[in-house]
Amino acid sequence: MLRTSICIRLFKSRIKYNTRTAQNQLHATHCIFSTENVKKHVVKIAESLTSELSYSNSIKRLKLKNQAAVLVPLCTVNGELCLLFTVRSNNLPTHKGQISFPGGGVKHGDTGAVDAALRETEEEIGFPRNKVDVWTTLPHISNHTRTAAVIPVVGYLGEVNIEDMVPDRNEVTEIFTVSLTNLVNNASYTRFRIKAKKRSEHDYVMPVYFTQYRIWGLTANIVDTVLSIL
Amino acid sequence: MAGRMSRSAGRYYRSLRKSFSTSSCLSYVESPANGDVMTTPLSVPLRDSPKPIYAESASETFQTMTSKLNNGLTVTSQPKFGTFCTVGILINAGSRHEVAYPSGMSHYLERCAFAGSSIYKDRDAVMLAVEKLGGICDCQSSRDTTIYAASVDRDKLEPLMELLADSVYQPTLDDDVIEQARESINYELDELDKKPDPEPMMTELIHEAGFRGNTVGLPKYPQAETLHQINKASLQKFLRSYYLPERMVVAGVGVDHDELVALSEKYVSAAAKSPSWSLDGARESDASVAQYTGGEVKVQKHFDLSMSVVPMPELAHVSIGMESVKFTDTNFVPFAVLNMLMGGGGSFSAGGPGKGMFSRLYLNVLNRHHWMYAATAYHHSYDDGGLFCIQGSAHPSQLRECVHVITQEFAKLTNGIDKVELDRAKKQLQSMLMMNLEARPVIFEDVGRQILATGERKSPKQLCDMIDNVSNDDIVRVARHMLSSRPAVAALGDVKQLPDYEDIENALTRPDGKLPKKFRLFGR
Repeated sequence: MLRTSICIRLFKSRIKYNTRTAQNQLHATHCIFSTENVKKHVVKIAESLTSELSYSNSIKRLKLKNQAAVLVPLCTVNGELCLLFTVRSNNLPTHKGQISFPGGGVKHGDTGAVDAALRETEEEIGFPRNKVDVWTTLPHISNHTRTAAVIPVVGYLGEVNIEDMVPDRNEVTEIFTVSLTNLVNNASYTRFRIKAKKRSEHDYVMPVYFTQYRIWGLTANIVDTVLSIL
Repeated sequence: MAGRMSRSAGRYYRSLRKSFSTSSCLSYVESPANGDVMTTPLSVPLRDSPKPIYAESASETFQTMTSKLNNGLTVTSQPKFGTFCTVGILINAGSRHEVAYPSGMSHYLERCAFAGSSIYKDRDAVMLAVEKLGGICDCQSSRDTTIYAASVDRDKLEPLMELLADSVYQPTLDDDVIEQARESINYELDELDKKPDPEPMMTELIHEAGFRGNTVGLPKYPQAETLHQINKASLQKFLRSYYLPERMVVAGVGVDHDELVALSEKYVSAAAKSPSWSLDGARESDASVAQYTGGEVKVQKHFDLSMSVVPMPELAHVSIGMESVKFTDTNFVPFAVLNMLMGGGGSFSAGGPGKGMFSRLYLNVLNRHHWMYAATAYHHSYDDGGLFCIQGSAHPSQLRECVHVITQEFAKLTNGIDKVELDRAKKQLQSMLMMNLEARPVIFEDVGRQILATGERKSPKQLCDMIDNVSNDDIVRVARHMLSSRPAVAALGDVKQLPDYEDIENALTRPDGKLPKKFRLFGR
């Protein structure tokens, strides 16, 4: 029997939403692209999402040192709206070789999640923080065991050229972009069954995107959230 | 004097000829043309013999033919000479689709197959009917496919199609059939637990480790805790969700294609319109894609060795695997060659050359380390992901060394393969493929599975060509790709000496594959 918390239900409905109606809803890519309009739309929805969700106690209990922030870099490549991803280096201790957004832990000296995300972006891909147009932050997205939570910061980078970016080889092997239509067309999902030990544990569904690299896990969660907003 | 000798020799031979002479014999020996028979070497044709005309294999007559019916059902056939044919229905339903159900539904259905349907009241009636058709029938389920098949006399195709359609779409699933299946599964689970043979359990464990909690990582066997949840209603819900014509292929080997299509329309499509589980009702189908996660699964277990007939040593089993590719990927054939290259088996395997005794796991592992009881390489590949693993068995006290040997073998792959070794592996793979495809049931399964999975069938010749094209660079490349994924570790038996997962993960990233040296003062 599947009992759902608000986070998972919202997420599950996004899966159905994405695979059936996403084509109609991606108005941002179809109509004449006006950054301001899209930005207003995204900010409005993000704010309504934040007020709607009630964080579970475990997230509230996470201390500041465990918080992480990532930048969700919306950009245009040759006029097409895309998301920018990085391939994590094999030198990193965790999640080697997986696809992720630029970002990292919130450290001392950062004024908050947004600042941390922008600083990490500048370190990892060399994109100057003052050129990022930060639109909003989305609610925490946590991993399924609720041990870590990441705050996605939605920012617009404008027209970018991958060749101009210099990745930090210790952390990032490669930078690439995927257009939003490509993501929507290659969306799929996997349902995971877990041996639930507590009443709060239940099966969960995770999205996966089969673009030039397979995008899965928390990154795919964030992509799904962003796509359902746009 | 020489002359006198030769003259007497001549007289001797002439008298011999006379004693043997019949007119034909004389002419045979003496006529100049046939005199060549004695002197022509076997590699040169005789001057006057007729020129031989060799039979050509016409490739057109051995083409697999496929048609798709209106309701989505695919019908495929492979012509083959012979008095018997093998026909069956393959369904894209297996343990990987059971995430929303108690595990083991497909396995349960396998036990309930051919056990009574609308035309045949019980299992005996079905078996009698199949016997009358001159053959046997069987159901087999695996992680991603369920196959109902029968081999019968070629001219009994029509009654067979009726029987198959009936068994697949109209099973009665009586209470006693379900109870009997439950009893036999209980017995099987008991056996699995008690038998010292690690095989089915290790496959389950390595899949669970590699694909944690999803699709092909789900257990194939029913779990004792949820076995009671499998009943007629849940079985019917599973059937309603997955036994749909668009998920099925009717395959036949040794049958006429048009005849098979006509009979499928007549029986299978008709039965599909009104199956015994009724089309209205709850459905829950899952279209998850397999996600490789990597990870560790340890089962601490004591084998009761007094149960086995043959005296067996106490063994611990460990399997280390990494992500491979789906079978439609271009790297699939290099992985298959890699599997053959690694080979392996049990150390007591009696066999001559060509049985695989020259594969790497024999040469480098089993022949060098007497304490390794078995080392085998396996490659599991599905339509959206795969797993390549090496399984080793040794005494529990040697478990760390066993893991060490396996990680070193994996790491050595990136150094490249010697040409002789690579050619041997390719030839062995080709010959194994061709030898297996001489058997009609294997052809049936090959054709059926390929059409079910990809919609087209690669002929044996195409596969052999793909195998030929594998080069050393391909092997090194796939080995590197594999080693960059998170390892999956499964262990069964007394596993206290198993190294930590992080140590194994680190060992696989090092070029020499060595585990870190642990300074043990008081043991582990």
